[in-house]
Amino acid sequence: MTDIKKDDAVLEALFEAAIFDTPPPSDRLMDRVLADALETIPTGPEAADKRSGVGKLGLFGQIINAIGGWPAVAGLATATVAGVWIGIYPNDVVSDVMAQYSGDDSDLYLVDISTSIGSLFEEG
Amino acid sequence: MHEQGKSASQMDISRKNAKDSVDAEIPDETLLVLYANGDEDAARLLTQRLTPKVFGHAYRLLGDRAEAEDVSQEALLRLWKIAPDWRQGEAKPSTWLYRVVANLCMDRLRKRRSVGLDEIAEPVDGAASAVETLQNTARMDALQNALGILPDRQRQAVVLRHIEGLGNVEIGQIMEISSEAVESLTARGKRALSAALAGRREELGYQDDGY
Repeated sequence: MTDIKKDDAVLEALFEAAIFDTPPPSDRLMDRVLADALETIPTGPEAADKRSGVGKLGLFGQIINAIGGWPAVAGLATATVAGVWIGIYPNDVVSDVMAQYSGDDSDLYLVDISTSIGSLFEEG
Repeated sequence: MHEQGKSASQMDISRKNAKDSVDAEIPDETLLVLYANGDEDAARLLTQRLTPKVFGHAYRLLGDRAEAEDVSQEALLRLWKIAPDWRQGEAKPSTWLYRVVANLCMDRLRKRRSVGLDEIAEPVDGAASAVETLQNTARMDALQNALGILPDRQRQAVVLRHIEGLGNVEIGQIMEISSEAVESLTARGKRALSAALAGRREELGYQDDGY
């Protein structure tokens, strides 16, 4: 082995030893750091609010929390999409129920959005 | 009711081990959020987890135990203070701390140089290392002395890469340079260290180990 390679090998061995030989912090330092941490720890109403999950949410966050959180928002979104879908493409059951309310003689007034939008594109 | 064949103390130890293993899985960033919310257990866990890392790094950069302790306390105090405003997902607390420690160490090293050679403290505390009987102590002192002659940035890169075991990407984040620049710094640092340690194989007891 050349001297350069031997020196490199020594250096690698020293690095390896250093990984396991880094001096640990003294108990005194650990105590000082923990004392700082406990002295600086956020307290008061804001931290308490955060602990209980409320506080700096903003109006939107508070509204979402009020209706039951994000799962409730997802449910609302699904219901909205379903409502729009039924409005555009009502099936026979919906038509029959509406007919009972409005009478057999009346036709349901349906808006066919897809046709209108299609014609817009065609016209450029 | 106790599990069959287990004493109360064994149950306590089992519970403690289970809790420790759960604690070990909590990321530093989560603990920091808990700390910002006023959780004292998070403060204790972060102290136990981060102080050895911070102190070890400061010691390798400064080579002085007392100064490394002061830097460690200061760096962690800054972390405690910034905790309520911590921006999640931007950097790991340990990455942020390595950067703060390096900056604090560089400040101290600059001040050391400005006070004149005669007043510079020995690079390794426990200057009696020459008479230490433990070979390992002599080896670590030799490494620490060699690290001490490197330019600050090279020393920082070499310590982060080869002793802290970080990857080039994270070192680049800490030092705010590219991975290629990290590679260049560590390569130059290693060459300088090898040169500084050249001819000391026998003195360090490596002549019989195939080196």
